[in-house]
Amino acid sequence: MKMETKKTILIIDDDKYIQQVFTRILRKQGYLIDCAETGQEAIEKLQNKKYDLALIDVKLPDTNGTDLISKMHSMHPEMVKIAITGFPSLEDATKTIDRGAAAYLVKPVKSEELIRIINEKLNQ
Amino acid sequence: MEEKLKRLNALLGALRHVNRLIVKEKNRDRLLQGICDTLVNNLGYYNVWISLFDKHGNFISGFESGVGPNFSSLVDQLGNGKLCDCAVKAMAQPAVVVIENPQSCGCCPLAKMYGGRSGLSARLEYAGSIYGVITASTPISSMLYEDERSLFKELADDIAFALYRLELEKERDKALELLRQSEEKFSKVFHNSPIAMTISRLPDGVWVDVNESFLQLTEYAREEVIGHSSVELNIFEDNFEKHAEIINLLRTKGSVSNIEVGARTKSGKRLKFLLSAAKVNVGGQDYAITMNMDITERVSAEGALRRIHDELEERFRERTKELKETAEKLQREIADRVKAEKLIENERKRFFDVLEKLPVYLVLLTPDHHVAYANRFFRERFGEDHGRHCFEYLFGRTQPCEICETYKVLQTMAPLEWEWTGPDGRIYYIYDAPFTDVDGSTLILEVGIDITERRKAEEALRKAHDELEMRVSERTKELAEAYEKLRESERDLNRAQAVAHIGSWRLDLRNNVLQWSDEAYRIFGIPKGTPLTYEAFLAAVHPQDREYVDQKWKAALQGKPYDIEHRIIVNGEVKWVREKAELELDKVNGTVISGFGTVQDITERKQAEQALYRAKQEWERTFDAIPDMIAILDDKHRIVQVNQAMAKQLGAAPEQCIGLPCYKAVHGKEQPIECCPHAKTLKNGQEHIEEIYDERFGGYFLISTTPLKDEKGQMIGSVHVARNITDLKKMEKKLEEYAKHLEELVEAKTKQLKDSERLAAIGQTAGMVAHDIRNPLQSIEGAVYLAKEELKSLPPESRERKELEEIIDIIENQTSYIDHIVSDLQVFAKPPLPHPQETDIQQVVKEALSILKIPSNIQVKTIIQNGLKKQFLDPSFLKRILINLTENAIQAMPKGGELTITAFEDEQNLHIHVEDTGVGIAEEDKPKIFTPLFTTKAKGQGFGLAVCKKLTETHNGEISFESEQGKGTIFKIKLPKKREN
Repeated sequence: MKMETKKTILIIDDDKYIQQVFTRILRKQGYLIDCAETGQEAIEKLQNKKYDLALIDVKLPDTNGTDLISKMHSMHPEMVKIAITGFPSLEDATKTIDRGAAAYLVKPVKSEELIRIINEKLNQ
Repeated sequence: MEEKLKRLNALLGALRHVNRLIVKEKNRDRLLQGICDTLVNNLGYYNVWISLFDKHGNFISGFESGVGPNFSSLVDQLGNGKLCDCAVKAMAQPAVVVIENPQSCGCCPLAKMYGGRSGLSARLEYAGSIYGVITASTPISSMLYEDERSLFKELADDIAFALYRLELEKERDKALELLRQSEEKFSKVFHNSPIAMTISRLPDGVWVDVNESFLQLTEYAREEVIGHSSVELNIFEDNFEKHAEIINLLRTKGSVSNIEVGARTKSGKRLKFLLSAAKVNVGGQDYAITMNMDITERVSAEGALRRIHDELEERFRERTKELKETAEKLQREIADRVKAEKLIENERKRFFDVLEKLPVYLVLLTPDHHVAYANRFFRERFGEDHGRHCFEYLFGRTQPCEICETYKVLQTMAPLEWEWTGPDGRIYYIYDAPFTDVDGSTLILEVGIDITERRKAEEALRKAHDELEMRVSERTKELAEAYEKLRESERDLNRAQAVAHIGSWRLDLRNNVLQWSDEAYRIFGIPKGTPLTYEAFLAAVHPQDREYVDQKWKAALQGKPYDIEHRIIVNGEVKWVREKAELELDKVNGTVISGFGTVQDITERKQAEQALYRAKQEWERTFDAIPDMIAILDDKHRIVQVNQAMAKQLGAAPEQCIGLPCYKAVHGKEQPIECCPHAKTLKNGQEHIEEIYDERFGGYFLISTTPLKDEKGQMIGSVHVARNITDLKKMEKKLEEYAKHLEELVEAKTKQLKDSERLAAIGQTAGMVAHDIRNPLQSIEGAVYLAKEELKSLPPESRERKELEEIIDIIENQTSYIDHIVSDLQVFAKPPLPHPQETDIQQVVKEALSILKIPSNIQVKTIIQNGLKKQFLDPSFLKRILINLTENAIQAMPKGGELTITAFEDEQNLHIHVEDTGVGIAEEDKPKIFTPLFTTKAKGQGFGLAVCKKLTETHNGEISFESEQGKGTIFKIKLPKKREN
């Protein structure tokens, strides 16, 4: 039962270090973490498993984050989708939010900030 | 006889000696003693003695020589009134008494001395007076001569005359002494009298002397009065009448008394005189002695004055009497003198006769314009004066003549010469001189010489001389003019020849003379004066023309006309001359007698002609060779001339075109076409260029018309040049199209290039860099977070934890700086759109400053306008701008300084200034600081200011700066205020 209460987060980023760091930080917060390197991998994971939140790097090797968010949103509208980018633009941000993202974060986001936002989104 | 003569000579000698003594010796005793001595010494008399007696026969004194001590007894006897016989006899008769035997004279104490001697005695008598006796003791032999007796008599007379003269002189001295004493007395009375007294000359009343009282009373100085009359000084009232009355009375009665007269002092004070006067005659001149008693205050002092007056009158009478007596004495003496002066008188008379007969006038003029003396000449010329003033009777005037020079003499006291025109209209040469009269008064002596005739003669002579002079000068002038004209015409001829380059020559075969003019020599380059021959002339002619000239000349000698042009060689150069000649032929045998010819230098003309001909040919060839169509048009649009090209275009020969109207020949129209440039040129005289499309020739033509003017500047038409530019036009059009295409191409390419450049240079890089850096940054950020979390497990005060925390701080700091740079890059690569919102400026400034680590040596000041409203802008943009500017400011102040951020607003804009006191911006860097990738710092890529500019511009704002090296920099942001809508 206890296990079931733990929220699951899918981190989609091609940067292995980011995956590691985010995984550690968020695990510390009591979340269950899964990682995907590509859009394709993320979709496959989402087909097999349901996640409470997805942290999506806007720039991915095989797809752009915006399109991925649209796809994920159509698959799991209830899932909280947070976009994170190293190359932000308003246009991009607007588009992302429009496609179902709950937040648009700019790298490097402060860890405390990230924790706060994720906690906030998942406890709503 | 001889002895007698010797004796007489001795006598004469003695007499002369005596006479000299008489003239010389004024002392009676010395004279008589001298005579005695002379007679004894010179005549051989034994002795001589003289005894003097007075009128009554009383012995006075005696003188002797040769008598010796016995003379005293004789003197005693004579003193007792007992005269000896000889003396008695001599006294009784005028003749000489001869005593044959003196020893017989019993009464004579000297008788016994005279044995063998004779005696001579004579009385001393002159003018009826007997003065004494002279007696001489002589040898008997001398008695023989009668002459000696008569000479002795003469001697006695001479002695008597001498005694008479001495006596007279003595008397005169005595009289003079009396007079002097009397005068002194009078003078004392006169000068010391309290009564004003004067002595004046009659009849003119001129004062000779006045006393002190008179001067005090009348206030005049002595010199102002003496020599003047009361009339002149205008002292008495009723001047003339009174004066005349007094003088009249003096004349007739000899005196006047107690006449009351009014008088004036010099200063004009009025006085009343009681005048008394007496006439006295001194030296033949009448004088008036006048007493003027001041009776002005008579009323108060009448009695006293009367007494004094009476007394004075009495004394005056006495004195007058005394004076009269003295005068009478003097009169007597003068009468004597008159006798003596008769001769002088005669002399004077002669002198006056001379004056009277002088052919010039001579007058003496008194200072008051009266004629004191005038000679006959004057009187005859101008009449008698009758006591009138000179100006009165000469000119009938009442005042002296203004032009009269005469009286100047009285002022200058120097002679004066001048010319005077008399009332008779004649001219006189006047000589005026001051003249002191016998009485000491000053007169003017004027001599006038009638120079009228001389003047006339002089005038006539001068006139004649002038006339002659004038005629001579006229003649001289005429002569000079004629000569000058002659010279002038000669010069003119030479000048004319030189100017016209025409020389001339004259040939006289009868005298075999050939003359050339100066210019002829010059033309032929032969030195002037060189002897000339026909051969010499021919030698100067150009070799090619020599035969021709020779032929022509020979024909001329046969009577043919001679007018030729040929060449000559002068100093190696070819010259052209024209020669003309007129020859005179002998009517009988037809030979030449004389001739006149001209030679003209026509080199210049010939050269000009040749040049002209060449120029014309050249011009015509050029004209025809030009490919452009050229037509010369007159002012009626008629063709004057066309070149080959034009004629070809018109399809006719050039000559056929001439005279045709251009519009007809060219355009086939009946009148000029609308845009005809020739018409325009005719209208305004300017050059016109038109591009015309001619349907007839099916092409484009560039037409230019250039005004053509005659030598007076009058426009007579134009030069019409046409060029077929059809091909040019086509080409131009193609070129235009191509150029347009090219331009578009270039534009597109440029844009592409610009875009790609931008993308390549910044955008792509930035995008790549941003993403690629941000990922590791994110990892670092996370790792740092995790490390910090792990640190919490260490004891808080442990050294390890502290050290690690410090290290982590550094990592965090540097990470945030990297992030900052990446952000700038990103903004530049892809400028964000602003999200304006109501923004508290103070809050933004605070946040920006809180992000930066500001070194402690930098003081920060923020000056925010009081009550500055919230502004509608993107706070993140403003923050970034402030961060960037502040960061730059900090870096500009490595040694510390002051950072000031100022914010204020006006109606339109919000102003934010960031100012530092740092190193400043170098002049050469100023234009480049907003350019991306430009940096002067070791740290940073040079996006900071470029980002500020970009962000400011997204707000339609402006950024500017002012900077001075070593002083600091101020950046100024100006953002337009936006409304909430």
